[in-house]
Amino acid sequence: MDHQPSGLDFALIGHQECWEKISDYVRMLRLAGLNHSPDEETIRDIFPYIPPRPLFEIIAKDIHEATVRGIYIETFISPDELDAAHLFRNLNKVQEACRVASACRAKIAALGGFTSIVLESGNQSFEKMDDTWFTTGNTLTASFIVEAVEMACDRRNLNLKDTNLLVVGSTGDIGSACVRYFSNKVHQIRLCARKETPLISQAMELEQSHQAAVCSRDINELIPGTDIVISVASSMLENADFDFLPDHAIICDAGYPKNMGISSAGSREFFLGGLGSLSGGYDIIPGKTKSLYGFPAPNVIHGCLLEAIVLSFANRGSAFSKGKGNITTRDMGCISTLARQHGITVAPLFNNFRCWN
Amino acid sequence: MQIESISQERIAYDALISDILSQAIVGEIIGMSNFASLAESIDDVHEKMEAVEHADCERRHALAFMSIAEKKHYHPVVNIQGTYWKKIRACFLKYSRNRDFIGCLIIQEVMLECFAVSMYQDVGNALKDDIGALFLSISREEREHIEHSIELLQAELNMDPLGFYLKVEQIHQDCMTILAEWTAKTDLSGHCGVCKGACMKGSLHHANLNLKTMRGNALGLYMKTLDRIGLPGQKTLQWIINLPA
Repeated sequence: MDHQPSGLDFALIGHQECWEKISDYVRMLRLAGLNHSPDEETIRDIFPYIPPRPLFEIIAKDIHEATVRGIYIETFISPDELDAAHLFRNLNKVQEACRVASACRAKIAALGGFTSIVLESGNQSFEKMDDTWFTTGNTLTASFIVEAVEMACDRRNLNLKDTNLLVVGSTGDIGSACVRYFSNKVHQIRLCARKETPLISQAMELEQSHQAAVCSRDINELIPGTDIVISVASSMLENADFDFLPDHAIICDAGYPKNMGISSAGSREFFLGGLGSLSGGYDIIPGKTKSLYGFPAPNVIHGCLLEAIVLSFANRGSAFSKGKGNITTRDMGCISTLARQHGITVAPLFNNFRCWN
Repeated sequence: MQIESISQERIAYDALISDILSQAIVGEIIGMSNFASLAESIDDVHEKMEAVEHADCERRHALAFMSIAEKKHYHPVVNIQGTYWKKIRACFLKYSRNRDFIGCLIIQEVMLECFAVSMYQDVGNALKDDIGALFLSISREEREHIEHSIELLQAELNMDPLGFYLKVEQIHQDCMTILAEWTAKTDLSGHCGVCKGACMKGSLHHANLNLKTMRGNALGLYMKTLDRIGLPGQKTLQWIINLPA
C-alpha cells in the first residue's frame, strides 16, 4: 500500500491544460476487464469534482548527485474553467491544494500556472502554512523566458538593441518582470494587457526611464513591425493575427495555459518559454504517470516548479516569489545563479513538435 | 397556451419533488434499518446505544419527509424493495451478519451519509421553500454522522494500515458500485422501483438540479472523507475512476 509521502522537500501544485492528457491519465488508471473506457464527456463530468490530491512523487537530482523528494499535487481545476466565472470555485481548490501540501509537510511548495493567483493577490496567509513555504515560482520562470529569448535572438542573428519587443500580458507578474529586464536593452517595448490604466502607467514608467514604449489593449495594433513576441497572458489569444509579423520574428509562448497554437505562428520561429532543464534528471513515481507531465525534450520542467526544486536543493525555506510586480532583475539573476549551481538551466528551445536546431 | 405550458411545468415539477421525497424517505428508512442492525453487531454498550440513537434519528428524518409530503399533498412511493435500495440493504446486512462493526460503519456513516449529505444539500439549495429548508436541516444533521465516524476510522487505519485499506477497498467495490449505478446517466440496473413514472434523472432540470453536479458533489464529499480518514488519495482516485458511470 502506498502511504501519503510525509516530510517532503517540495511540492508542486498545478493544473492541466488540455483534456487529451487528462483522458490518457484516466484511461491509464482504468482497470483491465471493466466495461469500456469512459468517454471524454464522462471524464469531463467527474474531473472538476475531484478534490485536490497528490498524483505522483518526483525525485530530482542535481549535478552533485544530491537528491530532493517531492510530490505533484493536482488541483483538478477544469481546463475549460480557468475564466473569471469560475474564480471563486478555483480559489477554493487552490486553497485546498495548499492545505494538502502543508499536510504532507512539504518544506516548500510552488504554485504553478493559475494557482499562483493566491500568492500574487498579496494574501500573506499563503506565504506559509505550518511548516510549508509557498512561492509562485515566477522569478525563475521570468528568468528562463528572458534567457531563452536572448538565446533565440543569438541563433537568428537578431541584434536585441535593434528589435521591437511585444510583451502580451505585460502588466502581470511575469510580464512586468520581462518588461523590466528588457528595458533599455531593446529599441522599443510594445505593451499589451487587458486593463488600460496599469498599461498606460507602465508605458509612462518606461518613457521616464528613456525606453521607447507604446501600448494597446488590442494586440493586432502592435503586431506589425514586432521582432520578438513574449506572450505571458493567462488565456488563449483568440483574435491575434500573427500573419502581420515580419518573417524573421520570433515568438515565445510562456503562457499557462498556452496562449497560441503553433499554427498561428505560421513560418515564424516559435518556442515554448519559461521552461528549465534539470541536468541531474528526475524520476516520476509511479513511472506510468509520466504521461501527465512531459515535454518533447528530456528533463524539462516548468520554471515555476523548478524554483521550488532549486530552493529545496539550496535548503532555503522562503516565499521567494510572492505578490505581483515585485520581481526585480536582481532577484532573477540571484535565482538563476542558484539554479545553475545545481545544474538547472534554461531548457533547449522547442515547440510542441520539435526542438530548434 | 401559456397557461397550459405553465401547468404542465408545474405537473412535471411536482412529480419530480414527489420522486425526490420518495428517494429520501426510502433512504432514511434503509438508514434506520442499518443502524438498528448495526446495534446488534456491537458489544460495546455505549456504541450500541449510540447506534439505536442514530436509528431513531434516521426514523425522525423519514417521518419529517413523510410529514412534509403529506402537508404539500405529495404521494411518495415508499418501496424499500426498490432495485438499488434493496441491494444496498443486502450489502449492509452481509457485513452486519458477520458482526463487522467497522464494515457497517464505513457503509452507513461514510458511503451512504456522504451521498445523503451532499444530495440533500444540493436539493435544499435548489428548492427555495420549506421542503428545501427541511433538506438542508437534515443534511446538517447527517453530516454529524460522518464526523462521528472519521475519528474512529482513523484509529482503525493507524492500527493496521494495509488491512484497513484493503477492507475499505472491498466495501467500496460492494457498496459504491451500487450507488454509482443508481446515479449513473442511465439506469444501469433498470427502473429503481421508487420513482413513480420514468426515472427522475431526466426531470431534475425542473428544479434547477442536474445529475452531473449532484453525482460529482457526492463523490467529491466521499473522496474528501476518505482523505480525512487518511487513505491514500492516489488510490482512492483510482477507485472512483473505476466506478460505473
